[in-house]
Amino acid sequence: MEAAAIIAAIEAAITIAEKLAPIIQAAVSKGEISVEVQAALDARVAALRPGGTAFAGAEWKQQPTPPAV
Amino acid sequence: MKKLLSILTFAFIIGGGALTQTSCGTLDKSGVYAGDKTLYGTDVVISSSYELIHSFVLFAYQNSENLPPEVNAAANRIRAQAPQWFSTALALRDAYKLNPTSENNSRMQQALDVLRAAVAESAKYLVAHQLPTT
Repeated sequence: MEAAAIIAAIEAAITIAEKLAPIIQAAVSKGEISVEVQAALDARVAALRPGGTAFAGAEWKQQPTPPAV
Repeated sequence: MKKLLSILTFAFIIGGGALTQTSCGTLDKSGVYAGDKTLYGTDVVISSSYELIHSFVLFAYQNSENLPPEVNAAANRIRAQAPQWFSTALALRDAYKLNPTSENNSRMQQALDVLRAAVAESAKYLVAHQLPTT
């Protein structure tokens, strides 16, 4: 295992974690989860409902399959 | 390298799953979840599942010409089905919120399992193709 590969793997995991950091951090903490954090999560979930914006991007459209590389 | 990200990813997934049953922390009861930790944990799983699945779909969109056909096919299948998976999970989540019985909780957990399976598949392809090869 090369150092660069390890760093890339960690960076990939961190990128995902960063998107959800406030919510996950609050969820696993022993403290109280604030009204603001709850509202942020509720808004994220609302975007996933039918008519929401979560699936509106071009990346969600069916893509032609390129020839094998 | 692959094992490392797999471990990190599964820790992420399992952590999300555990949050539906968690005793960590408390909810401010004046928040939108009104103190219901099961609902909060469920929404954490749903939201975090979307983030990882979206990461894969976006990666496949940006790199489709350099990916094997099976990866592009998997991305297209996920694109087609993911909105319904999330819609179903949210509908069952709402049903549980209205009527928090063990049966409704079980149905909700089954829907979350579908999302977890999609997360695992997405993570598998990300691990195999996103990271530099040695």
